[in-house]
Amino acid sequence: MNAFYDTLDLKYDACPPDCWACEEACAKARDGGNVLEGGRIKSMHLPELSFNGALTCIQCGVPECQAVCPTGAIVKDRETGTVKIQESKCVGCALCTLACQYAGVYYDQVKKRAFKCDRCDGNPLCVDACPYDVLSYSRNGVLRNHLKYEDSFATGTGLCFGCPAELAVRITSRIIGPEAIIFGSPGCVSILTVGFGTQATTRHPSFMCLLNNTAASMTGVKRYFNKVGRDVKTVAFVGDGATVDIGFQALSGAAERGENIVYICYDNEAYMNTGIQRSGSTSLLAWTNTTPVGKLRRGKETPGKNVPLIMAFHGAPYVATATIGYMDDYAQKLEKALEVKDGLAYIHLLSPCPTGWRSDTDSGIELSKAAVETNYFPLWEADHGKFRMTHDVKKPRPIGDFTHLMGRYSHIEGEVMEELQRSVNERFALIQALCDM
Amino acid sequence: MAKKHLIIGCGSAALSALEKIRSIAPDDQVKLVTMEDCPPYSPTALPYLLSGRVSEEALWMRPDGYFDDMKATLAKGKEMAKVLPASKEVVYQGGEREGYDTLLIATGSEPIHPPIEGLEEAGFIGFRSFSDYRSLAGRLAGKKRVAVLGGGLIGMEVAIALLEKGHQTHIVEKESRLLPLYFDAGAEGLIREVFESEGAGLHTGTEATGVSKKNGAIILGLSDGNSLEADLLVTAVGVKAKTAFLASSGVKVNRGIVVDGAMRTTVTDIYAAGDVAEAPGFFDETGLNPILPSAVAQGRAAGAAMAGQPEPYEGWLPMNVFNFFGRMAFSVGLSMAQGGNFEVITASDRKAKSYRKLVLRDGRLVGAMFLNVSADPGVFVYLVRKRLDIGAYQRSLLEKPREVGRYLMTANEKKEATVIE
Repeated sequence: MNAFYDTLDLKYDACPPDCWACEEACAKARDGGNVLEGGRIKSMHLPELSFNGALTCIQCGVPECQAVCPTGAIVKDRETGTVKIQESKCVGCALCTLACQYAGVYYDQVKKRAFKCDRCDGNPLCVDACPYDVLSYSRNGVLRNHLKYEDSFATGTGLCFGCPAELAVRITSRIIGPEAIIFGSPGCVSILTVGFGTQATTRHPSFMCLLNNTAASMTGVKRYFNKVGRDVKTVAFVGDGATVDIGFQALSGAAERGENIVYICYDNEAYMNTGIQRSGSTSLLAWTNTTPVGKLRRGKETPGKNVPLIMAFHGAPYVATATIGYMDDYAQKLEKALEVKDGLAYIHLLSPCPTGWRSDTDSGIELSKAAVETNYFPLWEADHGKFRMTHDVKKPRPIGDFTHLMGRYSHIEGEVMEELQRSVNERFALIQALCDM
Repeated sequence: MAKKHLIIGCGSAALSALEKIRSIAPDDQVKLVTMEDCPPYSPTALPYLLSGRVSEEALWMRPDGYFDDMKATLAKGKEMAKVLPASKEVVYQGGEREGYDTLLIATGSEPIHPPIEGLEEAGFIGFRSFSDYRSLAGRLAGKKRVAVLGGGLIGMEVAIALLEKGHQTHIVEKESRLLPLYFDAGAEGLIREVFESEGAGLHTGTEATGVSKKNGAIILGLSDGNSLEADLLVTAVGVKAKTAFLASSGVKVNRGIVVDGAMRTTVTDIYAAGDVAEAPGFFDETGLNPILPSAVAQGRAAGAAMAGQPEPYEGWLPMNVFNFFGRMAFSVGLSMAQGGNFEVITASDRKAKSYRKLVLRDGRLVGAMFLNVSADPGVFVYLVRKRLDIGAYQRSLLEKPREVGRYLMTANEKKEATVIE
């Protein structure tokens, strides 16, 4: 299987001018400080073309450097996907530098051998050294463990074009496994988690709840199976309306009682399925059909409830935020949630809605990432009371980089933008303070 | 139904064909036959072994158990005598016959032995195979002076190893330039300076006319009237396709076995790849291109066609990289083209001993040559193969080949990855 390896992500042209941090860190640690030829990642600055970027080996699926190596010195590790040069076999012919068309293999004139990025065996130093967020390391390898199952939903979908919730629920299905009982409530994704009309669309044992009783229904099912001596996984995948508003009483009660269920809220920040009405999760200043924008109104006047934080303060053993833009992060959190035995596990999954957010249908992942990179939606977890950021944003982007991607914020500029930025900063400072404790 | 693929040869082309067949047809039977008695290796690596940079075991191209993993068999020490297309059989030396469904000829090339009087008696070594390497390595001890006939890549690389080991080394090349196929006069002048400063005796534009022995030393008579004394003689004057066994087979052989873009010969179910094949080139010509990257690509194309799923073959491109004494030179594509509608721009720096050259046609890069300049050879292969219009960047590409090359490559990759809206 040569997919789903850990990936060194590199934003092609997002470096600031004259920053050599990644190359310097690499050369220093790996090649004795020889910056000119030593680094296994290369900073590129061409002021005359206004270009600033970086590049390194992309760890090809079928590496051409390996194919042309006359001694078989280059191998692709099947477990990690890393393409490595075995020093004891490298004769230094440099044919690999001729075969690699992506400038990923370099030649050391002094040692007379080829060298390349080996991703520091899974903890790339360049990522730590990058003062911006140009480099990151996705641990997609964790997803590979979940490829043994197909997802248990029918092909095709009635969800809107470009809805990232479909991707989220399909990977969720793979991670929880086909025998997990999945709970839905009225909402967009229930047409996959349960069915539509008289058509079932899932092979999971599934349970359709009402908007107000998902957590209560899960309690009953889980307790029944406990009573008959069967350890089953019970997982809810329901929207923000059913979680933060209508079903909150049931959820709050289940958390307080310590019911051993896994509750995933996919949050698209409004009642999208019924026509874009605001919910308790709708953000400050966002447009919805019930928080209009015009001469007198400027969208929602109050911030959304911080429900993941509220759940953490219930004392639930595991609470986390996630988004499908960082699928590896989500997968690891869901794995942890499934292992919880001493109470409720809650994951709050931000799920952009192209229809309700008035965004392009191909922007779901971009929006998910922008939400994190602007600190609008920080990725954190609270594991038995210990708060931790799971994705550090080194240089947060201005909130405008997020809002400009959507029609629902098209009215926001100037002072109003600053007001939103303040609100984002305040909410972030709170969670940061908890993580620093 | 599972087919039987018979592959004659066990070099880069043969192994890449095997790997391709396996990726397409897991149940087909594959058998490789080699005249060698050792595990598969590439002649490309042999000169480097001489210098002692790596151990001899480093030579073997594939790990132990490779053929079992690939569910293939390797028969060693078998030489071809004949191919009988009518009955779909091959005949080995000694008369043994073997049938096939598809046959791949990847026998590679053999060294040309120059017709020089007295050569055989002088006990020369034609450097090409592992046993040649063994015999050279074994006979070097105590031999101070070594003469290398041939200033092509193999000859030059052998000479580098000998110089590194402290032998007094002479190179004789009949063309007026060293490495005549890969570097022009501008680059060659600098390469020559470096070799001379490393102590090599360079004799270009002259040929050996006769060899004799005197007091245990070898005397080499040259066509320019001079003579050369050496203790050991190595020849590397070129290679030719190994095709003698095809004489009565009906397979068309020109300078090599003539094949199309799927490596099919003129006879059904017989394929050829690697040094032995005369295949279509990237620039519309057909010919031999005995270099390792071409062997790999052709082996892959042959394997795909043999397994019933032909893949497009882009055509071979001349290319080479030459490392010498801490310096690197490379050339890609039509790097020697001039006149007509070719536009050539060059720059050289005698002090830094560097040389740069780009060849363009209609604004597109068709060739490049660099010496002692930091650049990625593979990126230039990319720029040529993608037929990118680099007219606006030609000066900056010449001046900053590494940075601008990488920029053009990544910018094009990004463009190709962007969905057209």
